[in-house]
Amino acid sequence: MLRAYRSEWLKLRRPGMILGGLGAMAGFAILGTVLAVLRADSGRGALTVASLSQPDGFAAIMQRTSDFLGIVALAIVAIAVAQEYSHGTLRNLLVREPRRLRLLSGKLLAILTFIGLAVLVATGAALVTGLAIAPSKGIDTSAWLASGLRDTMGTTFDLTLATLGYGVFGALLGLVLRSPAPAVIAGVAWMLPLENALTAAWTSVGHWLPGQQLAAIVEHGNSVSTYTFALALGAGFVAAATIASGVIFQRRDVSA
Amino acid sequence: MAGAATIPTVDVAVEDGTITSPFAAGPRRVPEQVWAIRSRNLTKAYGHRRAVDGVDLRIPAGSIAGFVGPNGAGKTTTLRLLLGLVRPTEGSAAVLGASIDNPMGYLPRVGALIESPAFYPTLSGRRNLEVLATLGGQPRARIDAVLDIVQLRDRAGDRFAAYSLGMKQRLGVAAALLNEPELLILDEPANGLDPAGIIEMRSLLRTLRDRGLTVFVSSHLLGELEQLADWIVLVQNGKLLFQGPIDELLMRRRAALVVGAEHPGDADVIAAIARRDGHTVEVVDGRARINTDRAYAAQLNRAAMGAGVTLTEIALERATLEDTFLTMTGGH
Repeated sequence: MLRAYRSEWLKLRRPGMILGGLGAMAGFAILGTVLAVLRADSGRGALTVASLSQPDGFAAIMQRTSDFLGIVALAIVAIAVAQEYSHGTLRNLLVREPRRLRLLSGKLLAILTFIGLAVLVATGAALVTGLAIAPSKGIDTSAWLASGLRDTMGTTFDLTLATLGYGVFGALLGLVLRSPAPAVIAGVAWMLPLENALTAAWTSVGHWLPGQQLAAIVEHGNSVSTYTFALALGAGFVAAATIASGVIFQRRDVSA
Repeated sequence: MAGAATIPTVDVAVEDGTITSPFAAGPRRVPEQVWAIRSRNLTKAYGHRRAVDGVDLRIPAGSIAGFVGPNGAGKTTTLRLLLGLVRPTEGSAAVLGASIDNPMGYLPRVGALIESPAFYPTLSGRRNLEVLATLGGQPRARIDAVLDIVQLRDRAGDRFAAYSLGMKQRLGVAAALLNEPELLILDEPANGLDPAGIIEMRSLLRTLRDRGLTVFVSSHLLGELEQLADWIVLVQNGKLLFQGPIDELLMRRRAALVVGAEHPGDADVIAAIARRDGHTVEVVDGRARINTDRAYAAQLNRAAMGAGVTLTEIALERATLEDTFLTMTGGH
């Protein structure tokens, strides 16, 4: 598994992945921060100058960008997995590591490590951006890294957990659909419009949907689910997706 | 088909633990088993369609075995079965002595290039090999060695997407050689190679065989296989039509004597003589093509002289693999 992990890292280090994946996550985090700051007290955003000046002001910004980071993570993992089928490279990998579960474990661990690092980089980029532009809108950021440090770190932890969850669903979609574009489209369609529509139509349904649990984890509990429930159910969904991925990868013929 | 039922044996001399294959230029060490690949009733069905249908495959260790068949005959599926990429519906197979149910038992000793060479387009050739070498646990030094073997070292830093088809093919072969395999399975390795590249590939495969490797190679270049292969496996519609030494296959289609005479009209006289002697003849472009072997040439020459015909040409036309293939597969 360690060899599969190290081998995957050689692919993740390529400029396209760093610019496209890590850059996209950092870009969305920066964009979310800029919009949150610029829209404060404008009536168009939910955040106000007063709320952003609180110790958990930065954490609130990151909670609002979590959907985008999650979708980027889902896309990165889905593409990384599905491309092995569409490029035909999977057969090369399996000839060298026929123990399929070891190969899949090493590969996914490497990608999820990359996603975790990307979340940290994105959070850091958003923080630097927020500290730089927030004072221009009269937002007091002095508490973000003082009494609010714990909130910031806690949200970063929850954001990382949720983003990794998105990544696991991306892996499952990549394995099932074996083609990058359909995998990404299916993931985005489910996590954003479909789940939101279902939740809007039947609030109780949202209580049992995976994307809603990941959102509740980032917000440390919300109107849909408590933090503990979201963690438990989210972990259940991730476990189910992981097992399904393993079974599919282990049993399915590789004809690509 | 009789060829499928009768498996010719290969004479292999064993001296002091060294197995000497009849295919090698000299003695060399090869695995203990005589058959590098052996399958029994190997079958792969997709729904009602049997892509591979009850194949009893035998590939002698230390040989270059050619794998031929029309498009859709089941060649690639067979290779995928042998590499553990797809699972058989029925039957079994052993590669280098290990069952295909346990790919870890043999794949570390197998190098493979299946279908088109598949690599990451945005990575360089070298980085692509690093990905595979890292996964397979091969040292980085091995990368330079295989790049030298396929003469790609000076372009190793270029992106794979920028490679020509021939370069991609050579990178595929390099990847297959990374783990210093005992068995090399190559699917159309000469695709996209220019004539010089094909000659280099032929030379490389012969060198590898002479070092003790078994090479199992599928190809549509039948003339190339005829020059290269010691053993041939012919499949059609998923079924085995023939396997054995290539000479045995070629002998199934009898050789012919092509006879030309001083005067074009004399071809009919020659044809009459040959028919009288019990041979089938066709006259094409003023020459008689007699389905017989070399031994008949002297008798025919004497008979022609007796009939007042002066022969200007007696050539032995040997059956080619292409002729034989087309005959056996019904021209597909």
